[in-house]
Amino acid sequence: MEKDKYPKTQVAAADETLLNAFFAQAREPIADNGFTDRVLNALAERSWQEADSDVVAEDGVRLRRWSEMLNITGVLACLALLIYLGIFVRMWDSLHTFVYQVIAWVMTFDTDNFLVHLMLFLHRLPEMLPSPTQIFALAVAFVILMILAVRRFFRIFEEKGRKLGLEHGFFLPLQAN
Amino acid sequence: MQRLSDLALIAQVVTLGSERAFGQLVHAHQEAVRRFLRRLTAGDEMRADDLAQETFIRAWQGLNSFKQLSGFQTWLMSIAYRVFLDDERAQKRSPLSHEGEGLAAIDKSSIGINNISREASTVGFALDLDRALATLSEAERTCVTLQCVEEQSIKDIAVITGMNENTVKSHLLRGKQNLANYLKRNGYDGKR
Repeated sequence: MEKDKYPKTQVAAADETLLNAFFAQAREPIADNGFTDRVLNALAERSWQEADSDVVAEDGVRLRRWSEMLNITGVLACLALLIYLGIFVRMWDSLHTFVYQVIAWVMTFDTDNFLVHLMLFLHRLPEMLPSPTQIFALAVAFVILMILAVRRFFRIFEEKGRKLGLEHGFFLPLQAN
Repeated sequence: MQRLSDLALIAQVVTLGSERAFGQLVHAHQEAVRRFLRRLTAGDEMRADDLAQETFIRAWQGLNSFKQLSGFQTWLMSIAYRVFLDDERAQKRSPLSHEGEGLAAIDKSSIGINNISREASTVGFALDLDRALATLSEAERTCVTLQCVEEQSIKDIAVITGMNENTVKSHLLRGKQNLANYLKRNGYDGKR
């Protein structure tokens, strides 16, 4: 650590004014002039330079686009499913009923009553048809699992891609071509 | 607002690997990074832009490790500074480039006011600025540039350079004094 050798005082006010006036001119704007594009191209080039020599750059770009497109498609499919459940399965009504019932149950909770109902429920479970609440719960679980699965799916390929030196990971089965 | 916008873009880069979002980050911060590196390289625009490009590539590669303890620009500046130091070491250059050495040599021969004015009128203010900064040590130049040109706080300068705040203050004080003396010697105070 460098030792502090100098007094911690300000420079003279006149000097500060002089420096401020001088440096005011130094804050010149620098136009992008294609610098951003140059950086993004360099990013792509760097990925291919670091990749295995048998990976063809053009295939990689195409496959990366595929990977990104499939990723987006997966998320959109999940969202579409969510909307479908919301509109056609009346998920929101079920949600409202479910929340209302839970609140009512908590407010009027009675242990004996609960045990009786639990026993009745377990007894009748095999012959019961799924209720809207159960369908809703299953649908939510399904959507969450779908999202997790899609994310996991792409993460696996991302990790495999990284092992090949690729920054973002691509579809390896196709890369071998 | 800029900080919020940066965080939204960073989130897109980290979670989706979005190059478009990263492009927006580069576009938003290229000016400060390139200007900082131009001053460090004594006005060598090509070298500064190459270093800036390397800075953004390293930022892309290390964005997962961005902890938001400092602002994104401060983080970028710290990468830029390390890239500059690495480049200096790799090329075994002195703190100044060859051009910078030339500038320093000219300064040490105490060029006159008329010469300064002539230079300013022909090659512009940027050369004067780099000539003035070339009279400082690397650490002084870095600290003065970050405070006076990029308007970074002492705390942020300490984060960027890895020095402690008192050391930064010392470099700032001595750098500013040297710079003010240089400017006075060359007629910038209007007294000739």
